[in-house]
Amino acid sequence: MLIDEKITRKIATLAKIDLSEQEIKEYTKDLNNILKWMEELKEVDVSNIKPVTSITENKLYERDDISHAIYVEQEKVLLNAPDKVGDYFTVPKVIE
Amino acid sequence: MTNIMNADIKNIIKAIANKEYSVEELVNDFIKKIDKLDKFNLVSEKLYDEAILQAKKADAKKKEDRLPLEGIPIAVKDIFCTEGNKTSASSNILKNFKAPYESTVTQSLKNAGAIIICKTNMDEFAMGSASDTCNLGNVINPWTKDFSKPLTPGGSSGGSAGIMAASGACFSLGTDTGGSIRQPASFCGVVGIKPTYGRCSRFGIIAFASSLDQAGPFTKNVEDGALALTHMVSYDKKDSTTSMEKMPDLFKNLKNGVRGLKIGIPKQYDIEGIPSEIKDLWNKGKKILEKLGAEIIDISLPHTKYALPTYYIIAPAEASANLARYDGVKYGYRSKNKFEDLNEMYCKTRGEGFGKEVKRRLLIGTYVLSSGYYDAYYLHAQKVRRRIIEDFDNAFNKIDLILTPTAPSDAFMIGEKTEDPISMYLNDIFTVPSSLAGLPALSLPGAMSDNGRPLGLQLIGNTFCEDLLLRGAYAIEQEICFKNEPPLGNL
Repeated sequence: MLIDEKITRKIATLAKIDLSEQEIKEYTKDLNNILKWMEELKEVDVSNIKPVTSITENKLYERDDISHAIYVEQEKVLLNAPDKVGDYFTVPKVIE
Repeated sequence: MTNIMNADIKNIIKAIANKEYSVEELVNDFIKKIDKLDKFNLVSEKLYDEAILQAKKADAKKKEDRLPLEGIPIAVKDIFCTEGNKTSASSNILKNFKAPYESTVTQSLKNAGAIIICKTNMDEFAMGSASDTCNLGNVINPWTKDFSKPLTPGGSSGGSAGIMAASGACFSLGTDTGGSIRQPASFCGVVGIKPTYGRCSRFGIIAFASSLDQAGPFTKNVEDGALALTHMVSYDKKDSTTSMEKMPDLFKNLKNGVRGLKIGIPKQYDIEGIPSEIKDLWNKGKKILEKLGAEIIDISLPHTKYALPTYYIIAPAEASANLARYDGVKYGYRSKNKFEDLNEMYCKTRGEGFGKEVKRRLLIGTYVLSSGYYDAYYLHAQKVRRRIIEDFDNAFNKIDLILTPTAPSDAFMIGEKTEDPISMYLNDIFTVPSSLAGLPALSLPGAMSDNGRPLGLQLIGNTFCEDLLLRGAYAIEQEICFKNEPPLGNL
């Protein structure tokens, strides 16, 4: 066993995903199978090999340091808010 | 023209220009067609009102003001943000999300005159190979004969591939991360093209794995594919990974044949257990190319077998970062259950909002990036990825194109592989290596399986050589003359 339920619980906490007991059991099994399958990568000799950081790593261009962000009206953005008050998104209280 | 919906795009454009058909008539014909396809669950949202409005505008235009794709109805995978429309990537966490802006690719197509007629269903966040993780239910392949045993259209772009098989649009859009255009194209008997990484802007496409995601078209034939792709690619200041490399003219040499081209046949793709009908199709492809004057060369891509596990480390790792944004604060679903604090709100929202496969991949991704495991999994996988890229670099020193099957099977029954994630992942065995290397590749229909389902051939090209890729595909297509159509009866 590469991972047990305790580790699955820890990963779920890191990923901020609430899982049921049933899900913890299932994912522990799945993850073990998948990670076992990945073990074969250890056969590959990667000494002196640089990790890939980007597929376009040789083709990056210089550009002017200006933003090309698009402008979206505040109202339009707020339309998608699951909960809001006036022009603000609301969340549960974080400061006591 | 008796059945304009089955015509090539260039002939549809001609028919509209000659006023044999109005754009409004064309759009209405497609609307009627799409409505008849409801039972296949291909469509996430119908955009008919807007499409008819655009059609009327197109019809009112003077001849000289007409755009190159004026009035051409298209279907768009629900992963592309289209302003003002629901865009949910088939996930409950984005169920009611209305995109406040437009993706660069769909904007380019709109600027060229295309009309979006509907959005299509897919695997949730493009994570899947059977379009069976969609929040609106399973997508069904129009090649299904017996509805008690529905076939998958493949995935993740299953809705877009299926709608082309059923002639429900002039072309459709998909995205391909590890095979999500090519495998469904194979299963549905249509052409599906994944261009070189960096050709199409990813701006406004809901991100899955940013170093792999690429947009591409589904079409009825290769020439339509060349036309669609021409209007999709661009350098985009809003996506720094797009390329400034000029797209070659895809039509210039399209019909020049393959005489003198060197075609690589990678021995590692001849895997144990692949059905003989797929090997036969592969041989048929080789023979056609040989007959047309191409030189067939055996090549070796020694790290092929490591591509899948490498992909299933890198893609989930990138996904776990990309999908961190779904927190129930600014948009999308927020848990309706009671929560004590912000952290609990995040956890419940994500636990309830994401589907089973997405959660599985987020857990894998989080694990391989977590402290203590990063070097052993993620960093190692990125090194193996370089080995895979080097394999292709070496091969392309000697050859022009690579020929392989697209998928290791024909369309399977929905639910057949759902319980075993690894057997589902193996669907992408022939498509993932070129994805990891960012290479352009396509699938074109090659034959029918013994079960009466389409099988695709895959061509892989060198970086930025889409012209050669399409030229090879066109030559094969003319010889194969794939004329089979799904059993839609009177639809």
